[in-house]
Amino acid sequence: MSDTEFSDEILMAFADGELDEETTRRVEAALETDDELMARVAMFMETRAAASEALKPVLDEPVPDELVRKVRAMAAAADRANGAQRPEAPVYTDENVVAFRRPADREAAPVRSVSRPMMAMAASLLIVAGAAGGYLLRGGAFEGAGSIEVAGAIDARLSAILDHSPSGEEVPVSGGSGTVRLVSSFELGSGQFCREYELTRTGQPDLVSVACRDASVWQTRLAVVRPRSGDGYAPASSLETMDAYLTSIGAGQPLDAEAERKALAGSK
Amino acid sequence: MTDDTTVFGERLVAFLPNLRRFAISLCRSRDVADDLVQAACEKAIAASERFEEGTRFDAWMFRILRNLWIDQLRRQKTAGTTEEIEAQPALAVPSGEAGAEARMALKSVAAAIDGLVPEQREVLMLTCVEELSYKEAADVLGIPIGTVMSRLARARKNLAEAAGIEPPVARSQDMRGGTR
Repeated sequence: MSDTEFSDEILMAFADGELDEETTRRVEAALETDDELMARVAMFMETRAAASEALKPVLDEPVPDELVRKVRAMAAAADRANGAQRPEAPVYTDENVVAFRRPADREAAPVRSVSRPMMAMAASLLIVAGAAGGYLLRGGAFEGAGSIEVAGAIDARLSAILDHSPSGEEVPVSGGSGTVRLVSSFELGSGQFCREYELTRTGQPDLVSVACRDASVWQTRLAVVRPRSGDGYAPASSLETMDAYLTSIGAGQPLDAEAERKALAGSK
Repeated sequence: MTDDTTVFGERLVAFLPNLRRFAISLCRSRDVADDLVQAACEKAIAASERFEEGTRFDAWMFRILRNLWIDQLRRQKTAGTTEEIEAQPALAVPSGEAGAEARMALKSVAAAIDGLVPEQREVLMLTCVEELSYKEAADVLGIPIGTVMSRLARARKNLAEAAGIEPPVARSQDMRGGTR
């Protein structure tokens, strides 16, 4: 059995994980005995990795300030043109941080002091948080029936998940097109109960978010959006931002399973 | 009280590094790329209503940007300008200093990508670098999946050869029916 029955395109699709199941099985079977075939597949794997790696530095180049400014200005202009009435305009700091409602707890550090360490890593991040009353993140995933609102006050479904699901659990949402993965639970110095979770939706940037419970109402404190994160994108910096934020609001260590169970049991 | 366009704008801003990288690979000039990125953002903002949630935002943006670029190329041609912007490889020359030493080997990969013909370069960028699927890349480029695949396979063989990645085991071009 010669490898020549497999075209370059097939082997490439195999390397890229785009091959149908049946052909995948055939290629796998052939690979067991055919080193040359393996070399051809390896070439496709390596070129992908090499291309991705080689062009990573371009991502790290700072985007010219002027370009960022212009894009914001255009968006703002379009906003005004649309007559979008907004009760409370978000405030942008230099670091792309949207100001959000101050948590009720007094431990919270001013946003400015948080943003400092974020600065270096903020280039490819978008930080969204609910303004008073909350505004919806644009997008179908957040609108209409079966959707989840992240910013501001959290909707009932997500609230229920935050109230009951232990960390580590993944809960399908939006009719299975999305997942909420509970990352951790912790308490602020004030004793307020907070949770970090990730929201993943088809065709949407992943969102890492922290919500805190205030008198049984969940409020989003911070949501970090990043562009689709394949291996090379915005490496870990979203999480660093999240960590910097958590530190700034006096978040304690993540609760262990037992402590979390107790906190969750106290939910209702 | 949604803040649609502003949020959309921030989404764009967050995506700028990737958009810019793709633009640089197309234009092979940072200045031209930045103008192109700006134009693409302008267009996207104007058309933001037409973006379908649930589809890939990056693919949508790449398509807008690339279409603009094609328009520009066409205009340049019809205007008779023979201005060659591809004087030198752009991707291979990071604007910043950077640990050049450490990247020597990789740099040659970037140079090899720069050296690909545009059709191969763009399909490689979209799939291997920006991680679109074949289907998504086909949509961005407005070509059939089969064409994406054949171009991409050729692009990667050329890249492997030019950058000395895993020299493919010496083998004749066609072993069909050959015995070993």
